Amino acid sequence: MEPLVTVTSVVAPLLRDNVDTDAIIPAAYMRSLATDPATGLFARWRYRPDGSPVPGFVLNTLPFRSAQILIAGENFGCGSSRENAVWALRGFGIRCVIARGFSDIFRENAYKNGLLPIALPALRHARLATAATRCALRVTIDVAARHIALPSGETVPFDLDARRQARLLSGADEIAETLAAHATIERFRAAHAARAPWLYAVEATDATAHPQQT
Amino acid sequence: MPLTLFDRLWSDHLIADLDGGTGLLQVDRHVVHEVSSAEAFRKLERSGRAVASPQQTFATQDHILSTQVGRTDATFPGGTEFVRFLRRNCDRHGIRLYDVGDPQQGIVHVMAAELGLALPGSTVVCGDSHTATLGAFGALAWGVGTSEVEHVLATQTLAQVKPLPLQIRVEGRLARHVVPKDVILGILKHFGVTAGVGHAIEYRGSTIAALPMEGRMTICNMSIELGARFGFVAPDATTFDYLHDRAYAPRGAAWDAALAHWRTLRSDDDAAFARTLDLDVSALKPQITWGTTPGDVIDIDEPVPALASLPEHRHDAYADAIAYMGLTPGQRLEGTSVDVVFIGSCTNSRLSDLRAAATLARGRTVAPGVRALVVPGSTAVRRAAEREGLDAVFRAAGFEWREAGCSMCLAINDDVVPPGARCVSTSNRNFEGRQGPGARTHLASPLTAVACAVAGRIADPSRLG
Repeated sequence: MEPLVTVTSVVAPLLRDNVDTDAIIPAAYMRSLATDPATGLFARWRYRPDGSPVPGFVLNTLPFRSAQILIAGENFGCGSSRENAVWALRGFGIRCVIARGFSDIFRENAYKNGLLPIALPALRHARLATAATRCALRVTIDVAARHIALPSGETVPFDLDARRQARLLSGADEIAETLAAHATIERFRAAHAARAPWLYAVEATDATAHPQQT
Repeated sequence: MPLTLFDRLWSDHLIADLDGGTGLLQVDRHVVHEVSSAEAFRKLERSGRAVASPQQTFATQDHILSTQVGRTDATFPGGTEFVRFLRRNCDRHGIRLYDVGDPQQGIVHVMAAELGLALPGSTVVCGDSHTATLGAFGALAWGVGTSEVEHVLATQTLAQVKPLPLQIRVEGRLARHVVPKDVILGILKHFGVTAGVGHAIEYRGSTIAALPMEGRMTICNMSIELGARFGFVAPDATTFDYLHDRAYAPRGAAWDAALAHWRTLRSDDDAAFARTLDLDVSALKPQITWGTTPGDVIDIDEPVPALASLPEHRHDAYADAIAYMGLTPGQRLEGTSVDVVFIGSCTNSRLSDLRAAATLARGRTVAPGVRALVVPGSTAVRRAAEREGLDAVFRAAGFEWREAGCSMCLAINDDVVPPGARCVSTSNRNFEGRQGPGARTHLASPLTAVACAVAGRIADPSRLG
């Protein structure tokens, strides 16, 4: 995973609530392993049916075409678990989404790909949203300091637990870390298998013989 | 200390406490489908890793596979590479695949239930947000992204932030023509699409206790629409009866030992929940969505809410939703003409759903100009329905009778609602474009769906008699 230490960018305002992952990337852009997810980012808002850009859509306008930070409303990333939504944002260049809140699955997918989801309480969110809408607001997000630095020099703190912070800063491979805990896992599995052997002795009987029940 | 069922399931699978309120959990069953697993297998192989526990991993083809009768890998060309890649991955890693043509193939959450893969007190993950469907068995079952699929493949574990326990207590007897889908839509209407964010939901109360397994699955299925990754029901005699003799359920002495454990799986009477939501459903009517989030729900005989009745922060979204759906504020939904009716998806494609739908469809005809599909959730459901003659009922009424799969739920395969067309769907999401660009989705029960197909308009099933 590409580490995230700081990001300085203009903040693109997409101030809608409940931006779902079908909106972030429609399923039609998931029909080939070769498709670049970034081409599908917000496809229905970004492109007309003929493929030309929708002029008023924020990411089609200057200076937001190269924005690395997005600010949205409540419950961002709800719906489908498709990680393509995060890949699409990352492929476009977004490194951080600021919102009132995130869906649990999107948030997890984001961290896994070095995309920082910042959930802000109402007042702090409203101030940033207003500023980002009024003019091209350029901020610096500092993962180590856990704050957003505004042009005025003022900083807005955000929550980020130490474990995820460390992973964002280092880009460490989580699977390698888990595999390194092999002995602990094996010990657990042995004890668990003794308590619940039916979860480990996996063998099917004839599935098709079973009568349908409701 | 009194414990919730969630606390019990969590601590029983907790390998290690990590920082940040996160636990490393043992995964008992991993269910894999062709779309969300593809990139996970690619990355796994690129890093030279093996599948840690192939015997606890199970696969099927459902999302992008066509549901046309007589389908092959190539019926929907966009899906072919995913279908073949999953086959190759399962073959290479020793994973049991319920492939195209297998009598147990089906939508992940439907076939996993039928096979007895989700057992009370187990952990089940799948790269699909509706995995909480299997929480109906008293399992901790949740949907994950592709990186998490890769993590589970490589380690048979998953690091997970511990959610807070939330109980939703549902009381009352359901009226005729009111079914579990109406209950979960009613819950969404009352509590909204963020009620469950950061929470694990235990559904309780007399209504839930009276439901058969398939109805409980319908309710748990839409936990994610409330924002919750986890939703479950404590196991009871209904659960045990369903599981007895299932392919992967324990047998003999192992069954007796499992049953003794399963009977302990409940929340203590004085357990503390972070939040409690109560709903009385005794006067609940058939429910239907009018807008573009699954919380935009009304009684079928109600008008579309007027702007003034909504809180101010909803006003922008409301105008967008009304325009997208082609509705006017205050209009009655009932009587609005319908183009497509879809009966299927992991929410409502099990045998009880099809039986209920067929009861209303028998002797009636789909209105001219309406395209209506019935897509069984699994090949086993399809065959069972055919043994009962349900396929003949649907065909005679003018419904298409399909092979098993996700079909028109998500517009990733060859079943797509045309732009601007209005679809009454038994699936779980009414987002803009969910069923195709410009598609207008109304979520409802299988009974309401049949009533709409027959009337050619949005219609109340209780008026069909």
